[in-house]
Amino acid sequence: MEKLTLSPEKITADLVPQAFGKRGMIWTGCLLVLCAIGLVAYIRQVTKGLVVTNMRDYVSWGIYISNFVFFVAISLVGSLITAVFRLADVHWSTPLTRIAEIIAVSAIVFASLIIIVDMGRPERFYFLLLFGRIQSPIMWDVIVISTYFVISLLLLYLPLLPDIKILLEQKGIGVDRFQKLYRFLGSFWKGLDIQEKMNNKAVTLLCVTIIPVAFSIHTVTSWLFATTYRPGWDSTNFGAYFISGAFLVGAGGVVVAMYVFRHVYKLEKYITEMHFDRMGKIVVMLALLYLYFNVNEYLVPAFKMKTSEEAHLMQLFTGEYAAMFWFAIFTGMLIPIAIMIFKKGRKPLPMFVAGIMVVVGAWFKRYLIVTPTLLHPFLPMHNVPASYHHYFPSWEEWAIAIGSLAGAMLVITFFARILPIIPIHETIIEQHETAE
Amino acid sequence: MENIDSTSRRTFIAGSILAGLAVGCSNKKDPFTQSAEETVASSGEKVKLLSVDGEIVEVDIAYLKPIPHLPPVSIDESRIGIEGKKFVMVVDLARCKNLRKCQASCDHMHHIHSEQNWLKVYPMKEAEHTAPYWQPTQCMHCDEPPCVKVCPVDATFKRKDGIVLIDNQRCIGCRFCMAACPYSSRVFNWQESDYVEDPNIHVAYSPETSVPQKRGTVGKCDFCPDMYREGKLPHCVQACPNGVFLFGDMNEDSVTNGAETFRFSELIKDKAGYRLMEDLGTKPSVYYLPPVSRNFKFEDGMENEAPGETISSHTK
Amino acid sequence: MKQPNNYKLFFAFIIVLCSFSAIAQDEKPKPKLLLELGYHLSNNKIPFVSVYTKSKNERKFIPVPNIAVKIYLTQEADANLLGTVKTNNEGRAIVSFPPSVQALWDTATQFTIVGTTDASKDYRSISSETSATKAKINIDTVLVDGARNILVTVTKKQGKDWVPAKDIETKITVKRSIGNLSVSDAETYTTDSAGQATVEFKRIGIPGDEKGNITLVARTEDNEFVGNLSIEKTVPWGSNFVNQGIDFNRRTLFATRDKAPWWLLFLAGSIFIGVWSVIIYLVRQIIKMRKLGNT
Repeated sequence: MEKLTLSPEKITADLVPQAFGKRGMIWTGCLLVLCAIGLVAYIRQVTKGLVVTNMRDYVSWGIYISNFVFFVAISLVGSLITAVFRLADVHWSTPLTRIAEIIAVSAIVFASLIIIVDMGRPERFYFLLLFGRIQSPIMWDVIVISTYFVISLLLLYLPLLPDIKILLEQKGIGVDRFQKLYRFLGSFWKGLDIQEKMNNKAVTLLCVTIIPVAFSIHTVTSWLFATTYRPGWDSTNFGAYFISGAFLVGAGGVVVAMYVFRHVYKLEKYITEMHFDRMGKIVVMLALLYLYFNVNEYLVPAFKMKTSEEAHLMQLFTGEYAAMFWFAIFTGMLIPIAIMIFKKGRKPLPMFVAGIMVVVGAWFKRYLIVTPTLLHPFLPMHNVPASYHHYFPSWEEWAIAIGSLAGAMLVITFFARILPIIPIHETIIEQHETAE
Repeated sequence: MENIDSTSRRTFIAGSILAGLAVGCSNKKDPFTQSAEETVASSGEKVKLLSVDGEIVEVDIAYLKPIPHLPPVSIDESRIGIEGKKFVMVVDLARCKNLRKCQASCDHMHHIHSEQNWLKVYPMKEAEHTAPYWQPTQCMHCDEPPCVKVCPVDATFKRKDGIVLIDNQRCIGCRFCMAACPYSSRVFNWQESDYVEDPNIHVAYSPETSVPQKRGTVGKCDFCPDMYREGKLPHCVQACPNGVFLFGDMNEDSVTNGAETFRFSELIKDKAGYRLMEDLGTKPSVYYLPPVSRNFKFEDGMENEAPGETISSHTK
Repeated sequence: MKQPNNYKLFFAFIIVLCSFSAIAQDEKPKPKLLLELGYHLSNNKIPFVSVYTKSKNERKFIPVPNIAVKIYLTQEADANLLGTVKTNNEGRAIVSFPPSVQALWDTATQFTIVGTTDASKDYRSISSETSATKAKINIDTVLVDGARNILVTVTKKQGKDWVPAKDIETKITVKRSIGNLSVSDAETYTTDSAGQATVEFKRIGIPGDEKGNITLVARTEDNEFVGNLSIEKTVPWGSNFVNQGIDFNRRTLFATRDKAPWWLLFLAGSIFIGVWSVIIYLVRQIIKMRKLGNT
């Protein structure tokens, strides 16, 4: 396909943030409503205690924790698209880097928030700093997630600096009200040679650093489960299993975001069909990899059928959670693979559908990792009310979980409204280089 | 002389009178022996008493008064524990009839709901052809506790005397310890406790007593160290009419249920005592004596079951 | 005939008495207070009386605190008062023998302890008694066929002499912090015609203190003849105390935060320092760029 060379002015005009249209307002409004409902539910929870959830002594971790794992998983994408591709000198992914980074930052922020929501005593959150035990996997998780948040923020900020300079020179309803913010963020960026050099070096260093940190956030999160004895969690496979799942859901998330931004902001020239095609191939590869880990995770224990694991596995394959399990496998992995293996399936719209399926399937997969295991303790569930034998989240839990997802999307939406979702400066440079 | 209901009570009461005469601490000595001076703080004021031979002897007045209820131990002390002890419990499964008096007593004394029992009695039946039996289970106070390993804020801790306690003023309610415990011995306070404190008596919080339980924190059996400091056995041990629970100190090699006392090492060897889930490497402090030569049939315990409770075969 | 008439009269008297007390009482019958007395001889020297006030509630006994009890020797008379005590929170109190009853006590061989309470708004006044013979218990160690044995002798006062007390059940135990451990298989040992009971010490190697000393306790428990006698003797028959508890100061994964294992501190520390050095470097670079741009 012939790529049209675009002038810098055109690029800038296309990529500068625009004001919300009617659709944007409705979208933001809906998200705000969902966040508000979540907040109301949380206030109820704080005043009455966690009894408003349906978690009880056996299923003591529920939808909040599975949401937490989901958020941590999605936030891995930042390192994949941005860091790995940059270091590999891949250029076609440049338009996607900022989308990936904002998804990463937003997800990791809400991961921390949902964990605070899950605490029985959220006002004692600072105890983690005062009394933290380095022996605890939760401390490792807190440290790593904070580190990852800072690094992701830096990786979002540094490439943004050249764009700030461009934004400061623009006028239009999209950018006028944010001029003060732009000045605060990066008025010192003058585009000097030395600044560019320092910036590029810094970004490269960040990319190198973020990869091990990203690996560790999801490995450590998987260790919250793998360091216990429970069937379904007591697996040496968990670190790699979680990371491959994280890459998959992150890539799926980027695909969905790509399509939405492309459509809403009319970015067809920047996020082209080629991008979808290439992302599609990547998602297929990641899905096959995740499928491989799933086979390891379920087939091997099923072969042995240890007594402690038997009830758990049968519950997933044919029992209470069978519908959800097979839904997650098919929707999360098999059907998207089937769609994207064909060139026709890698066009934007099918990709969008496949991306949504991957993300939804992944959410249910995380739910399946957390809850069913807790229903199979080593000792029988006895001397407890009947409600302890099952778990379905209460309306407060749903409201808060959906509220957190809405909140993450709200952050992304606001970011795209204020700052260019596709790097302007880098796109201009790329165009120059390909034109010459 | 009034008759008490059982000799066992008599034994224990006699012992506790003498015990009550000394300041609550480890060694309960007869206050009128010379060695009692080590344990009871003498007031210096002496009083004249008669001896059995009719002579007049002088004894320090501090020995005469039964010592009042001791205040609970400070949090720092409760994190260290009682010197020189290693508490251990032996549960004789051959005697258990699922009366659940142990559970009722523990619930009552710790002011916890019956929905959040710290002590549960499970109907166990490992396989199709193995025997069913009732198994009272509470916190194992493991020597390598998985719950303590994962706590992020030191809210649960292992003491010198082997007891694993929870500091409800430190717990942040993350419930990782509940996920880590393979014995399902921890419960969570999902809501505010409905315990009403007497406004006239203000008792400082101590992890050894843990009353009332605090909302948003974790709770579990604590081997009643506050009872031990008063020279008494834990509530479950006292409450069981069949003498199922035997509590004691491994360093003294002796366990008792109030009426009977056994040499711990001999008891475990003779009756082939074992611990639960030994292969997990948690090194629990609770030993079980196998349900051999049962005092009661398994079915006798069914009468205490709530209607609708199912008994299914389950693994150890 | 006289007897049936007497019966009728007695019966009538009872009915009248009951109806009187029924009128005199409140509508709710007062719960019955029970007073339990025990005679104790501590370490063969100091006698005292244990007082326990309790009441029956649905087949269980519950202690009744704060009851004033007067204890007398032999009979309820001011000269015989041993003491007045108030039972504590657990319904218990002890009363020792004051010098004022020395003359009475000296001559007593078989005696009765009487306890009375006054009527209060919750309970009627009650009285109770317990009787015992003055007795002593002694404990000694002997070697029988090379094996360690314990010899317990119980003697009781008869006139001015101390004679052997036979058929007295004794418990011979090793003292433990809760629940004393019997030295051999049986729970009790009965004294023979010479007032003696001999038992072989079977608890070889039972842990004692640091030097291996253990305390043997010989006592009678609520014996109808001699009450509660007790005596102790320390012998070096135990094994040295070994603390089998955990090493509280060892660095482990389950120790407190200040005792994390070295390898973990090293691993976590080096990773943390490594990554955060990069972050700090980058932040400084940003500040540098800022300076360059603002000049």
